Amino acid sequence: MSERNRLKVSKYNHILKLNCTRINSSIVFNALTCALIELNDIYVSSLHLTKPGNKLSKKILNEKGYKDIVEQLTYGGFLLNQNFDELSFLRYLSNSSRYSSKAISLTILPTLRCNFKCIYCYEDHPNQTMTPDVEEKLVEIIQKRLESGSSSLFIEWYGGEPLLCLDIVERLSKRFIAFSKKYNIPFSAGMVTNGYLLNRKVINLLKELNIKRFQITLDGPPNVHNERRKLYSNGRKTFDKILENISLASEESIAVVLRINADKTNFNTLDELLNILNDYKFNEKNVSPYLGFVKATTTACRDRIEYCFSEEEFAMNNADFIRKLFDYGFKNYSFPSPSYHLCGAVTDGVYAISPNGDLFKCWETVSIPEERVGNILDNKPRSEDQINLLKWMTYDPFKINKCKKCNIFPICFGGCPSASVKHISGKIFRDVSCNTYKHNIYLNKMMEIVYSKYLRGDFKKEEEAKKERLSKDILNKEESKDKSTANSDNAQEDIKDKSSQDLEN
Amino acid sequence: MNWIKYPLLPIALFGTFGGLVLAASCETEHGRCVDNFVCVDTKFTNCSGEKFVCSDVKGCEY
Repeated sequence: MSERNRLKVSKYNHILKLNCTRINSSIVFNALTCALIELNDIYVSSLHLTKPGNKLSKKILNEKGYKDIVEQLTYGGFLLNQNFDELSFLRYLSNSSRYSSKAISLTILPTLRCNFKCIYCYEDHPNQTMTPDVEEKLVEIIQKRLESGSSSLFIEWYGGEPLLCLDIVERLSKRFIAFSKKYNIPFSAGMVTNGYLLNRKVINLLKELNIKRFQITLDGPPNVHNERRKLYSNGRKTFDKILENISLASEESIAVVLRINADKTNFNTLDELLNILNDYKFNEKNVSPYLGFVKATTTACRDRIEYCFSEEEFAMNNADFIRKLFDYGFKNYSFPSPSYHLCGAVTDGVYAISPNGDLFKCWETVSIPEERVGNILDNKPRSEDQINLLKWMTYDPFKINKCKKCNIFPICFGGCPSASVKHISGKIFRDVSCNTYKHNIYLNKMMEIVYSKYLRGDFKKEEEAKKERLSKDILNKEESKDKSTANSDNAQEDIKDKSSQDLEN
Repeated sequence: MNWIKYPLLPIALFGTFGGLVLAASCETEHGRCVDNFVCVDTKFTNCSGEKFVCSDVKGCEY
């Protein structure tokens, strides 16, 4: 090997010594490539994998058995050319993703109204519903972007509660589906909903509208959830109805990301919730629970601050929780992935669009008009909006010293950008925060779980199941072409009846 | 040595195909790109973490 091609150790290796089944092995994770291996400790120490930047001697590369190992470690990014600057590589990837994407990714809020009154909600809920002129302008803008070469369209439906305006969701989705055919681009959508207004007809309609995934929240067993997530109109309980609707969505093959907002007041009750989810056999279906970190980030929820976990507390509790998910047989796990994409809030062309056409970069700001970065109906940009936009788009985690030196930087990228930008409204309270992986307990637990899955043969089973699903999908698509769209009218009627009852009571 | 997870971002590919799009795939708690489809962009995130858009809807598995 020439001097030019000498290898060094990555600055992003994480090593966890196995102390049970395989005494002489460690598992090694690289935060840049997210590769994970089991490696004999002899190689860990002789190649100095724990020493970032350490250059490998030529002598060791000539030793018997090392050639293949070194090749594989290089493929995984654990070793790399001594002249390769990992940070520059990350910056290149990040900038490419951030400023030159051809994908359209929008969050649309058909309404800011909500039929729930959750105790920790960060939004105010003014009586605002999307107007026809905003709908039309939105469609026009998306069409222009597609005509100028955008290659895919993803919509997240958000609110308020988006199902209070199912008619808007339906109208816009049909236009997007038509674009997908006309411009031959993929279109898919997800929806953040409280799940209360779902029923089989609505679910089938949403399926036809290309919604592939719901995010729905349950905050604990019935007595706990019902105290935190009540109906706005009369404070009625919501747990049973939501659980039933998650079950329906799952039967109809729509994935459910099940958010559980955790703080000091409910974490200890989550075993009981997991038992309920287990009784419903959600662990065998496409329902994926995960823990949401409740933070008192806006004036609307600032009074909850004393009940929120610190970052470290949350990491410890989340480590326990993911282990329980694994033990219960849930298939999802938050194994880190390269997140050089940065948050949508600091990515070009990514916006949340409120019912009156205001554009926002961050979900947390959608009910704070002073934080807007524009309005789709404006012909001329306002300087205040441009100032707001610039603060997001010039956010640069590569300038944060502690981040540049951090060995999980590739999977964190400086945490939530909202903490580092100045909010002129004075209504956002984000502290500079690191990703949960920063706390070794969480990253180590994740590595252990993935290793357990590997030992159990889960990955092979997943591959087989995936092939089977893909074959089924092809069959289902052919069948669904024959189905009519008659669900629509019935579903709209159902929602209108139910929502007006809940809101107008 | 045993592979548990192959690299999601193979450095070896960088340069060969000109960078990001062909070099990356993704996997998150919310969904992942499967087979030969690749990650092309973020969609909006919330405090649950990053979510991704696949280069083709067919390649997205939730």
